[in-house]
Amino acid sequence: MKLNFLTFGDRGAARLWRAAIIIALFSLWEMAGRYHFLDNDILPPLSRIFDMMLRLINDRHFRYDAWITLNECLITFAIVVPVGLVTGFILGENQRLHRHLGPIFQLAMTTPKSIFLPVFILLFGIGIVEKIIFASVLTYFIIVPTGIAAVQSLSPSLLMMARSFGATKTDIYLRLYIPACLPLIISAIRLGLIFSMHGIIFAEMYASSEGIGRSILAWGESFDMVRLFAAVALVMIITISLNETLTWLEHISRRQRLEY
Amino acid sequence: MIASPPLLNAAHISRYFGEGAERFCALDDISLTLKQGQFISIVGPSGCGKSTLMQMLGGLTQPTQGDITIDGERIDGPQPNKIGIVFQDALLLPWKTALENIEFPLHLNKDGTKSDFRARAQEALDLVGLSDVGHRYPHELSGGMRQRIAIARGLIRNPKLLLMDEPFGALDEQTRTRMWGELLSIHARSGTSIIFITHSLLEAIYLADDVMVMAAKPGRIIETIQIDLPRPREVHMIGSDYVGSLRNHIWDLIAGPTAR
Repeated sequence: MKLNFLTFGDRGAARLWRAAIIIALFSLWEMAGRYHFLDNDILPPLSRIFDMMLRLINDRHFRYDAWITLNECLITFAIVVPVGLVTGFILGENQRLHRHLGPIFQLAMTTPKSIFLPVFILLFGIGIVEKIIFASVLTYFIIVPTGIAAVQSLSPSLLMMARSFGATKTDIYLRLYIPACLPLIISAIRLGLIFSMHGIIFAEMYASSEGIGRSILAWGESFDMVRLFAAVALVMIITISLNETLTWLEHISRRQRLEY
Repeated sequence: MIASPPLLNAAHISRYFGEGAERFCALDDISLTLKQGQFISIVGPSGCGKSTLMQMLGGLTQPTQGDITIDGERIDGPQPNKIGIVFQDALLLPWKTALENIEFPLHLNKDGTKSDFRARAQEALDLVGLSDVGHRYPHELSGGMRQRIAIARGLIRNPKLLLMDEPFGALDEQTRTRMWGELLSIHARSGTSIIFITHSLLEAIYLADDVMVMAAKPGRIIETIQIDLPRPREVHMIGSDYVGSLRNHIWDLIAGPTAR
């Protein structure tokens, strides 16, 4: 019945509700700014923030900072995802190694790596190398368990079946492991992107001479709220787009592999 | 009439597991011969080593003692050219469609073109009566359909021998009975030898030319019974006195008062 839309009973209706809520919040925000319900200096109106976002995109310095940060993220990602996945594959396949080294990874995973940032700075200074090392270590311990799960998601019976039909080692890697693990590999890529960015920006905010994180910190400290919000919004747009794209890819690959 | 040479010959096969004090005998001195086109059922209680025997016949494991030969050649590994295996759980690859699953052994062997493979897979699909579901994924198909696709896959390389390990175990009685008819018709049309392992006494009797009755601890063959039913078999034969008395006899061998 028509009342479906009140209870989120239908996906189209849910989307309309979400859009309506966001529009309502944005309108409230804009009005609060225009009519000075809140101090404009603390919460600038949306229109000024959108305006500043466009100006930042056209600003040479901002683009340079963004480029630095992006490069650092990409380098981290390119190193850590393959190395982390291979580590995960090895641990997943090898019972003995898993038993011996597994607990170490567990401990490393549960410790918040952020607290080690001062140590990294002491060891490696501040600069590209330190940021990349920090973000790599942070992301590595997220990727490894994903790799282990990926390998363990393939049941041994399927391996036996493939062997019975004459599969060689290469066949098993190319035709079984990779297709079977694809959803989790995409998941690892997604997590790799998220945590690389997280680590790099965090390190930049803490102590850096360049990069988006440093700019955001500087604007926050000098109460330049408009630029702060604008920069944060731009970063959010990028991370959300990447995350959603990869989640969608993961979803598609999973749909083909529904267990039965 | 001169008897044709046996296709498969297993001579005094034994299989032990474990070492030293924990060594136990899973299969003790099993011998069997199989002629081309013959249908043998193997029936026995749980734990009698039926699946281990099948894995050895299929080259997936080696006997501790004794040799198995097919066409006179020793089986020391999987024989994808000569032997097709249908496993208990279908074991289809979840990320491939029905046709792609059936083609899988052809891709492992790599002698032929893609369109050639696709045509042969469609033929096999027709043979098992599922011509229209080639593009569906395993999770979209019922248990009976998945097993039929597994059978098509087992037959795709026109093996001389098809090994079937309780393939209909998970099916309800009516689907199972229909599958018996399908399997017998495939057997008649293709002339493939079949070794069929099952828990079900009636299934063993109804399908086979000969039934080998096994006991457990250690796994061994108690008796081989020749089935004097005409082909093509008809479902009503199951209700006959002949089949009933055979079933009772086998039951007594396995679980009755004279069983050891």
